[in-house]
Amino acid sequence: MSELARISDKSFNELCYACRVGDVENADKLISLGVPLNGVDMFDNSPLFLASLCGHENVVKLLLERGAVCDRDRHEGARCIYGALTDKIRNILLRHDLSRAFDLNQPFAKHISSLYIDDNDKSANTNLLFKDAGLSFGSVLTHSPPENQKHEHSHRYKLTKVNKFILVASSSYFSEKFKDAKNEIYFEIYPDLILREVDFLEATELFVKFLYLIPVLHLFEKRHLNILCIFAEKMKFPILKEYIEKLSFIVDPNFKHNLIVEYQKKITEDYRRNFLNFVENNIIKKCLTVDQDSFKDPSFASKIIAQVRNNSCAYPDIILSVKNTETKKITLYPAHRAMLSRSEYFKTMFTLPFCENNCYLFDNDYMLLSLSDPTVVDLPTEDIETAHAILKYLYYDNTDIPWEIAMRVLVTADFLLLDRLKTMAAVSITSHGNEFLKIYSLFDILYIAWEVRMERLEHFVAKTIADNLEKYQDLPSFHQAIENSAKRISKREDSDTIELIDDIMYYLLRKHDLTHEDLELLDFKDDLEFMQESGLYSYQKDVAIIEKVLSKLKLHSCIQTVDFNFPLSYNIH
Amino acid sequence: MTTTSKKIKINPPNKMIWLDNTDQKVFFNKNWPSFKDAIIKLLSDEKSSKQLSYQTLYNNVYQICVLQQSKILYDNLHEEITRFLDEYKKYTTLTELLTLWTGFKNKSKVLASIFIYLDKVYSTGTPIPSTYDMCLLTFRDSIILPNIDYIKNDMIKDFYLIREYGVNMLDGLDPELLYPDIESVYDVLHKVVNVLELLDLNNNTTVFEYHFEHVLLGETKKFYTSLRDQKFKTNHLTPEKYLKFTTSVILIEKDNLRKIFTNEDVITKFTNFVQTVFIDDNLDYLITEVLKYFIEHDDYENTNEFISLLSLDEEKNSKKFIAAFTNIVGGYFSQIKEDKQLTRRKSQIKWIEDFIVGQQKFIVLEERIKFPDYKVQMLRAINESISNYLNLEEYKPVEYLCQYIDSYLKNDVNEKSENTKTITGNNGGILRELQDILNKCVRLFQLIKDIDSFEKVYKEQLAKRLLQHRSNIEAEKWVVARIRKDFGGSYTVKMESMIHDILLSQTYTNKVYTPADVGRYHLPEGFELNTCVLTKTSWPYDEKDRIDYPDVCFPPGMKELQVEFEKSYMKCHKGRTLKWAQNLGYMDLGYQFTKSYHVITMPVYAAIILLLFEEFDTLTVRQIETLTRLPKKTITKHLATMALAPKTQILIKEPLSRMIKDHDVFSINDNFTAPSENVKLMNVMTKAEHEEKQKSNPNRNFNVMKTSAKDSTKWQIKSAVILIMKEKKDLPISDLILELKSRFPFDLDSPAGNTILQESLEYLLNKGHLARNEDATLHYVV
Repeated sequence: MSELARISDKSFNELCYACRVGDVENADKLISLGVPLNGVDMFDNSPLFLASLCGHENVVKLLLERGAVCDRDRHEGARCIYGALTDKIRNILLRHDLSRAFDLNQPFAKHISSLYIDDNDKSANTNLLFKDAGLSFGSVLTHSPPENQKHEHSHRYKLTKVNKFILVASSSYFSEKFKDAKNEIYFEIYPDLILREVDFLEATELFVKFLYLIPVLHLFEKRHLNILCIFAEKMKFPILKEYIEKLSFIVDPNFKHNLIVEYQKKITEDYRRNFLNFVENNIIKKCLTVDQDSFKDPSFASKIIAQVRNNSCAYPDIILSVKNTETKKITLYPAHRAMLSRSEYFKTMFTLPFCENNCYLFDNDYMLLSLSDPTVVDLPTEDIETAHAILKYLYYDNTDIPWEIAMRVLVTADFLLLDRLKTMAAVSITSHGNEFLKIYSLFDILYIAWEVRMERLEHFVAKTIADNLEKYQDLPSFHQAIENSAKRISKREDSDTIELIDDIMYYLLRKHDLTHEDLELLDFKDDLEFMQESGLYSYQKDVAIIEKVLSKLKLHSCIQTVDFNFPLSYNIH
Repeated sequence: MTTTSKKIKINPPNKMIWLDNTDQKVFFNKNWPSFKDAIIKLLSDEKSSKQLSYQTLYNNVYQICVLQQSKILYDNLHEEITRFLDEYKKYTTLTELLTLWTGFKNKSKVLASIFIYLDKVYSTGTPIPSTYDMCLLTFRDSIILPNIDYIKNDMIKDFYLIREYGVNMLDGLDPELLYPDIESVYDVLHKVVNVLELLDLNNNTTVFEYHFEHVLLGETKKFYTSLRDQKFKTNHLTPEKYLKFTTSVILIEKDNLRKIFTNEDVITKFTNFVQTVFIDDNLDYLITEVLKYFIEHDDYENTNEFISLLSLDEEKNSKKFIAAFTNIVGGYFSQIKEDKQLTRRKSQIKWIEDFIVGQQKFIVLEERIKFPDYKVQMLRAINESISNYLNLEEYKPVEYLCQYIDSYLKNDVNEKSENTKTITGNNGGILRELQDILNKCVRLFQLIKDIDSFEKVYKEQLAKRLLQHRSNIEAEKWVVARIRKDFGGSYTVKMESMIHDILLSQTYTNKVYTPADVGRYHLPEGFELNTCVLTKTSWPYDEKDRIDYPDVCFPPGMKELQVEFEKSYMKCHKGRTLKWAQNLGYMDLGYQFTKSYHVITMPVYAAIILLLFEEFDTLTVRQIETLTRLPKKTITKHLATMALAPKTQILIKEPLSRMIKDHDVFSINDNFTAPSENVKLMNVMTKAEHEEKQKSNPNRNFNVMKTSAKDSTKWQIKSAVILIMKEKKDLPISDLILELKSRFPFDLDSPAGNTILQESLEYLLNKGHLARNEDATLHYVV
């Protein structure tokens, strides 16, 4: 009997498939969508076992990073190790340190953690720039702090800056509290107990780190628990409270470790859910749509901007706009620089001294001096849905891109320098190929693939053509595509073949279940029966079609090179 | 704020504008001018970025790239930057250059941020430099390279300034007054070097490395050469001062360099140059004079300092150093000469002592040297030098060294004769002291070439010391153990056995006689007996060396004692032959002369003669002969020692002639006196005896002894050859030699060793133990 639960769910089976064939991107997407990792399919195989057995090193790494369990002392873990196809994979599995198995590498948690600023690290100034949307999170160790000392630094008073929107997004306590007090800058914690100062300060730091999803559960010590429990209760973090309560009953370090892993995952999941709600309720629902023409009037514009800003209790410090040229409307979304900076484009925009970066004014200690109206920044898309997909990706790493908008997301992600989102959009296209091709031309995909440099799509196109050669051979758009591909040669000086043809030739081999070495058997072309049985016959027929097309296009000379200098380094899918 | 381009909307996406050539160019030309303005604005004023919209600029770049105009954009940007920098082409000062650079670098950073997308599509994965790098390289081409000579000049000037500053500091001048702004000079140089090192040249070198390094190195050499020459001409420096000056100069230079360069390799290069000027170019003088001076004065600190300056990692220098060191050591030992003014024995001891002192001196030096790589070589040089001069005359080291050891072992007894029979805790200190001295001279053993002769001579002297009980047995044991450590067990097996004999004899004697038994044998009060049973094979005495006159009349009791001893011994060891060698024995007699009391050590037979004078005041030779029944020759010999030797004239001869005749009358010389209480009777030799001695005593005639040592080696080699040949049956001579060398500690490489081997082989061939095969290999004949 397996220790892992059997899961018979469509997306889990999809994940298992991706692990078998080594499709890292798809696996990544599915895991990001919350498909459970530590389960088994109807044959009692776990995704990690499949990936390890089939020798997909990158998938194994991904699974481990995202929290797949490989416990050597258990049946399933041992099975993964002994089943590993290569030594390298075995070593990866053996070396994988269970104690590090927190999902620190989850793209979602990673960005949020990166927003945390260590007070002791003054070099982290660039991140500090995003902090200003937040409030200072002060901890005071007196029962009744004197009013006049409230804002002064003293040795008993520690100020930690926390992004306000993170508080609002993660706890109902804060979203409630800030509903009416939008301009509150300081929030103070007064414990009702008499405590050691050190414990209190440490616990506060742990708590703030916890807010930023930094894995700190293993750092909790007995002396912190009381304080943390009070924090959790007061500020409504039920999961944290649950964890602390459970922790106090556990002594066995193994159980403790399992508990930590379980809860770290739970906390991240909970956070994602909260962020999902946050984006829905505080960003998407709080958008405003107005006429572009009227928006050109500065006074009207600033009125609208103020309105967007005030609508949201999430302290937006940037306004994203989506302009639709057909309806002549502009839609404005309240957003946060801290989250947008996941995109390199936005990050550069917000860190360098351009006019978009005017909204904050700091003193030398990076204390906020003033806050002007948020800047409006265009999202390079006309489509509301695309904008939402981008926002969801930026805020909670939503990788589920509906195929209908995948093309638009792809281009926009390229503009925003979001490579991961680009890959996710491409995955969405390739895994919905049939539906997609009903609306888009295959060659649209090819051109976009060229434009955004997405090899996965180029291969998808080549494979589709190879599999349906009859259908495509006479299409003028196909011929056009070949010519375009040939034109690109001058750009790629390192190869003198037509890339599209190369790719198609490769997938032709795969179509007929041949390997490159099998081509040597072409010498036996007189033995018709053998040719037919081995698939070489039908393969040759397909090659003849390509040759015909090429000769028609007067590009025939290229095929020779194709035949003999066949590039072997293809991403296998 | 601009409107997002239509391009973003990809519906329908097959309307790809870039396929239409005219469109792209038009688009570019339309958009470029405003774009260019932004670039110029950014370049001219850092602050201007605040007025520019990042999204607009980025969007522009994005669209141009999507329209396949990346290359044109990149080239145009390059052109714009070049044009901008051309206005600043005129070089003024390094400081100005740095200001320009810093500003430009910051601007480039901002500028490049606009072109992230261009970098992604155009330069990533290609050898084309990214936008930022391209900006910096343009700076190189437009500003640095055209002005390279000015920059060089100014840098040379600045370098000169800081070096002069350093030297003045060394001379004790107050440099702060002369160069108040020196820190800024360092700063400027440091920054300029950083810039030059940052900028690549043709991908494999930097501007600094290619254009500046050699020039600056040349200047360094020039500066320090002139400094050195000037220093040398004006004042003659002592070695200490020269070294101190050089070290400080190098230290200062290093300090200077550290303030300017961050690259350790470059610092090393420059420092090496300075070292070359002060050390390498002057090496011969330094090594012959300075190094010698330090070594001779036992100045370890400066020697170390000096060696560290020699940059010994260069093979040339290290070779020179070792050669010079060898020279110095050789020079030292070649000075060691025998002092003819001293007595023979003293001059011999002094000679060895000089070597030990020298060896000690250099060994201490070697130990104090902090360069482990050279220790081995130095040690070898020391040993070779000593070995050379020590073995200059073959017999000298063996004989003298034995004499030296002998003197120490004996001295020990003479001075502390009261209680040397046993070593107790009290005089363990003496032993330690002795060990210390002997330890030092044991180091010399190892350097003696002719160790076979050494064994012979040493055994001879050991035998004498043991028989006369003139040395501390523990010390003897220790020395032998020490020799064993160096030369192996087989070398010392006989010596050990000798010592063992003496120790064993003590117990035999005690069985027969203890001082309490005086009465039983009617012996005088305080009589002590020490009988030594010698294993014949271990001791360096032949049968012909043994003299025993069984009829001799011993003083009362002694004969009985002798018989008793024989009985007692034979009881324990049945079947052994016990023969007396009275001539090797000694007797100590105490006598109160008129002036002083003396203990006289003398051969047994001499003692028998002397004891006669207890009863008789005067005796003639003939009377003595009758009373002692000794052969006349022996009597004459001993009488000669007692009556004719000037230092030990305890008998008076009547008449006073040089010859001893039968009727000469002898009586005790009551007027005898000597400086020490202990007097040793020397053997005076008759002429005939003397000649015989010349032949037989190896100590006196080295060559004879040498031959005997050679003979024993020959026998060893012969048996070794037989042993090997028995195993191998057939073997070429070369292989045989290898076998011999690998199995036995023979020295076959020296010409002497080779001759011995050849002789041995000839012998074996002649005797028919071996035969030559046709192919000249050897064959073992059964």
